[in-house]
Amino acid sequence: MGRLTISGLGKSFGGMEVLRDIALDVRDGEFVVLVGPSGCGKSTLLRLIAGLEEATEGEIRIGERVVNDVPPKDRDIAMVFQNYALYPHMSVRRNIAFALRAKGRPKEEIEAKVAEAARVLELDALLDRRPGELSGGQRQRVAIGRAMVRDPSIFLFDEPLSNLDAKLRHQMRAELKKLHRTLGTTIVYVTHDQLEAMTLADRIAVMRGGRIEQFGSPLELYSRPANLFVAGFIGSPAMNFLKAEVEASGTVARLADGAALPLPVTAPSGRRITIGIRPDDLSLVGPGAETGAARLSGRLAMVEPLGSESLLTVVCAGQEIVCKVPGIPALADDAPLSLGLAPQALHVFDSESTLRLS
Amino acid sequence: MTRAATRPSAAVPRHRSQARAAPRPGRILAVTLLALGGIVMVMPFVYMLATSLKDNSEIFELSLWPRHPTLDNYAQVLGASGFPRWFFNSLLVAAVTTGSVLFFDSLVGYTLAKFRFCGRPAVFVAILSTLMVPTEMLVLPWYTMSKAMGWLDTYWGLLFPGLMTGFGTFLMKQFFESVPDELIEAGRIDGLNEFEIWWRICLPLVGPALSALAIFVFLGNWTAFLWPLIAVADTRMYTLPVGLASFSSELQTEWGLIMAGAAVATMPTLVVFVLLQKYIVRGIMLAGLKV
Repeated sequence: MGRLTISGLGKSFGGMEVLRDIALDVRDGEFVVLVGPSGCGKSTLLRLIAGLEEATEGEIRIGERVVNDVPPKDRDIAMVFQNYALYPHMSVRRNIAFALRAKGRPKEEIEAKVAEAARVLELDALLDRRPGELSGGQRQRVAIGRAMVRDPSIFLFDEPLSNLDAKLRHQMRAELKKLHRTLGTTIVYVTHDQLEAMTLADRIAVMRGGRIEQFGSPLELYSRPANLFVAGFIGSPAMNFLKAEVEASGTVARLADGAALPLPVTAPSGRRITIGIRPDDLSLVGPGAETGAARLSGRLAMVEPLGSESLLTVVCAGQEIVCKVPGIPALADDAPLSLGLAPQALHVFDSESTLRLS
Repeated sequence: MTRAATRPSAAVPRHRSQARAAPRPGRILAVTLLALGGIVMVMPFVYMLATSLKDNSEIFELSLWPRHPTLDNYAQVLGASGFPRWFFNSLLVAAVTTGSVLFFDSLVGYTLAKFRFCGRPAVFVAILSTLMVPTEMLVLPWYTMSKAMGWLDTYWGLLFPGLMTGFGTFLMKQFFESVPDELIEAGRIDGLNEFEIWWRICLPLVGPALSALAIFVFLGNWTAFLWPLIAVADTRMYTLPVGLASFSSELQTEWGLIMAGAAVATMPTLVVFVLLQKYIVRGIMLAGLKV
């Protein structure tokens, strides 16, 4: 059983608390990504699951078994490290077979499993090479092969694509997703790249400062972020934030420049709020256009052409916001612009608690 | 772009051919100095070989080629004296101490490099501080201890001071620190115990350092003189340097025998050097030391 249940987990190094009150329930066969900025504790959490660090408090269960005191080799897990951790003095074949040899498995079984892993990962031609003779992507596949042959309940990946160039990263991402579909094994995957998290995960745990800020599906995190941090972290380009205050009616927010925006929720009047708007939810509208949508006015500060679309940086109510528009618009610097958006596309957060107002 | 990129490389062969046609004065000076240095280094060795082939009548002549070359000195050294036993003793001492130093120093170096435990810095400093104590200061305590324990005139007495070294521990610690922790963790997940991780994963990765240490320790013990001279009085327990020194007495020095013995004694050193030349050079570069 590849179910992973974590409850009340905490980890301190000396007096420094790096993880606190972590609770996570990973279903059998699920692909869960731990994502967050550097130093948020995601790799420490993975190492705790692997048994490479001891928990200060809390419980880790793999299947029905509490594994807090179980050594890594007996946890029925396999880990792919950030730098692959391939044994440089051994051939690819010996690297892949190493764990099985250490366990004293029969030679025929080892050979069969190595051959199968090599076939799935297209490593057949590389089996007699050493890691130093392989490219980054090939090393990555060997590291996955080494984990695969152990046939574990859970795969743990610690930023496995971070050393690859953008093209190879994209390719390996697709391969990993395919591999997960083929094997159906539970995967816990650490990355700081939200795009990687969004494309790979069944569910994502967004971490900050040793805590899980939100745990949910990629769509849930994107469309209903629980707080300002998640809202700003998930999505590329990042969400725009505008400071505002709720009017007496509770359904309209007043921006710093006096502009009014209808809110999709009713908020306590006078409350200081932060309005979040995805760049994709903004569109350029002409001065007389009737869109039935909310409007923001500002001046163009910068155009970043991306090919099929462009990012416009517009100064609205004294703050810069980014708007994604199709094509490359012919606009002069400092041109006055009107941006339209549907009120239901607004995300409203309490400025003080940073939590979503729903 | 391509054209621009190819231009500098086209200039390289021209530069090389110029260098071949007219060597720079600095290079000539360097080669001359190195050649002179080489001659100075090789001369004693050549003179030792020449003297070992001379008979007693011409032993004090400075010629590098004997007028009547003879192998008598070799026959006498290998046949009549305790030379074969001394050779065996030296080989045993050098081999056992080398094996022991490689095992224990690398084990301790690994522990100091990769494990965090209470008192680790103090242990390391204590080991380092042994490097500052010269052998001459230690031989008296060693002798007192050996005498008290009954180790004089035994192999154990010859061996024990060299079974572990502070230098080797320090050297190996530095090298093990360069082994990524991820490999050790991968070993733990793969099911190895800590000893197996050291033996099967980390040790092969510090091969160059082990080779360098092996060469230093072997040569150091092969040529060791002071402690073997003190630790053994029985001629059968002599090591080669002590045995060779016994050819020289207050009244007479058998130069022919000494030179023949020294020539034979140099053989293992030469074999080690020829076989492991690249490791010696790499070892010197790695350790920043000279043999």
